Amino acid sequence: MREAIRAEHLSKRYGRLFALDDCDLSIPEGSFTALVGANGAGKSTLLLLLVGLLRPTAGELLVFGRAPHKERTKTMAAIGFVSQDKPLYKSLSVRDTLEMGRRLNSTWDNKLATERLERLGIRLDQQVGRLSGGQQAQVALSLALGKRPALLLLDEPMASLDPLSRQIFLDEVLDVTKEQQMTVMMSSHVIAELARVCDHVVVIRAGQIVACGPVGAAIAAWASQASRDRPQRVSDLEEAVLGYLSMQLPDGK
Amino acid sequence: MTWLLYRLYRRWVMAWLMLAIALAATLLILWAVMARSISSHDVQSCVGMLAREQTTSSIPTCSPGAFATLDSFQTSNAAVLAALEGFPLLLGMFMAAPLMGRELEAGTHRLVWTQSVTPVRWLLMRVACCLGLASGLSALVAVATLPWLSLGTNVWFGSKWPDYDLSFVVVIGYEVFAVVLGLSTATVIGRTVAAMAATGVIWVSVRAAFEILMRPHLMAPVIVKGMTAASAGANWFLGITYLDSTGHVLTPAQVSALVGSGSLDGHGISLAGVVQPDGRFWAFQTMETAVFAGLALGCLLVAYSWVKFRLASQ
Repeated sequence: MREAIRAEHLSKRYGRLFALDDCDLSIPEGSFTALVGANGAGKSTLLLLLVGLLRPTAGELLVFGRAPHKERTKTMAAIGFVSQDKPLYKSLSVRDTLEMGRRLNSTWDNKLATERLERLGIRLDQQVGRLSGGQQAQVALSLALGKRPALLLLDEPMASLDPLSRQIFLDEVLDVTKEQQMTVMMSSHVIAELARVCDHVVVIRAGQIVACGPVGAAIAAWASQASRDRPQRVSDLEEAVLGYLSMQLPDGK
Repeated sequence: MTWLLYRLYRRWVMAWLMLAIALAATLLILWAVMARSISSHDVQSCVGMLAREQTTSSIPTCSPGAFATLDSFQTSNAAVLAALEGFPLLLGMFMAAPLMGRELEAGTHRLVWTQSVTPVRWLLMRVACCLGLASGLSALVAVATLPWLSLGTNVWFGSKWPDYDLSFVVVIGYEVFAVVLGLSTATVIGRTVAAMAATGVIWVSVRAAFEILMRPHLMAPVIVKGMTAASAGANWFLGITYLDSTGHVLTPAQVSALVGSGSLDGHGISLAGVVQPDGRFWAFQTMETAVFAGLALGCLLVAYSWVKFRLASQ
């Protein structure tokens, strides 16, 4: 299977602090990858490197064979990105926001973007700033999906949403990504949701990737490393996510 | 990208357009009122007499109405000068800096950059649209200023220098610098209010420093023996200096040492006026505009580097 994302010895340093340190990563096309790690572990840095908004300090990062920071335009045409703070122009209407997507992206699918918002009952003539947090997240997702991206990157997209909105958001992501054979990488702290959707997992701890691969293999790698490390280095979140994921595996391991 | 900027800022553009129209209309009304007053009180003849009488040191013989009109013109001219000198500053502080600062504060630049728009294109489109709008507004105001300037030239003994800062050539330079400065400070600072304050402080400092320290020396001044402020006519009178009998310039210290308590004439020392001739007006305007355009280009390079190497790809 082709690789959607490949990183070799990838490092990113802010001053003296390593946000990512000598990371190797391989994500196959068509996978749904959960990006797991405590706050400050380096998840957002990895996602920003993938969209070319950061430049690696060392190592190589390729998205569909291209370095995002070197070939930004070509790489970004294949990537849909929803960032944690979901920045949208609050003064624009939903229709104008989608029109912006159409004008700025040559591969734009207006039908896809419009119909899914209408299905969710979001009025296109409404001002984005007057929508609820959940509705704004759906508009941001529509903007990302309307590009018909081959890779969808979601940086804690559900952090500020209530449980019902999270459910709706995730169902939408699942429907569209399955239908379009999209590769998805999503960071989230909501354990049950990650377990429900992902088939691959990447665990980042203090800027280092401690496990990466299909859920079962990654959990085994993580468990082996966690037993070697001092317990205090393993975050509660890691333990909770991977414990939950392991319970979801068919053989229960 | 142009469409996006239009949709985002169309109400803002309308507000600025209304402000420029109001300013232009005020200028034209003021000009019409002042022109009528100047004509009805025969101020032209009074100015001519004043010019002759200043050179002969006799007492002016204008009517009280003409003097009142001249006073009124000077007050109005100071107000017009302040308003028009402040217009580029307004554009830089209240149009350019918020245009960039709000985008960076809200993080919406990342939304655009993760579509198929490069950060550099994003920056250049914003600069181009902002400069285009500001130039249109400045042109509108500058055209409305032309009748007022012609009025001023007649009243100021035919000299264009007193209204130097209102001439449309330098106004373009000030406007371009103010707008690019506003955009650049906001790009670097990333905060709207701080960028507005920084733009104001930098713009006023640069303008004042240039006007006081550099403008008089853009070209070497001409020394005219016997010329005084009253006889300078259409030239820009910078001050007086002393010449010895061979025509060499003496410093005040040299003059004190030579003359002591005696008279200047006794030592062959004469007074001379230091002026920039009337014919250099447009050369000065072009040079000053080029300097401000160069400063604007420098600011743009800073903003470009900041976006390319800091904001877009740290």
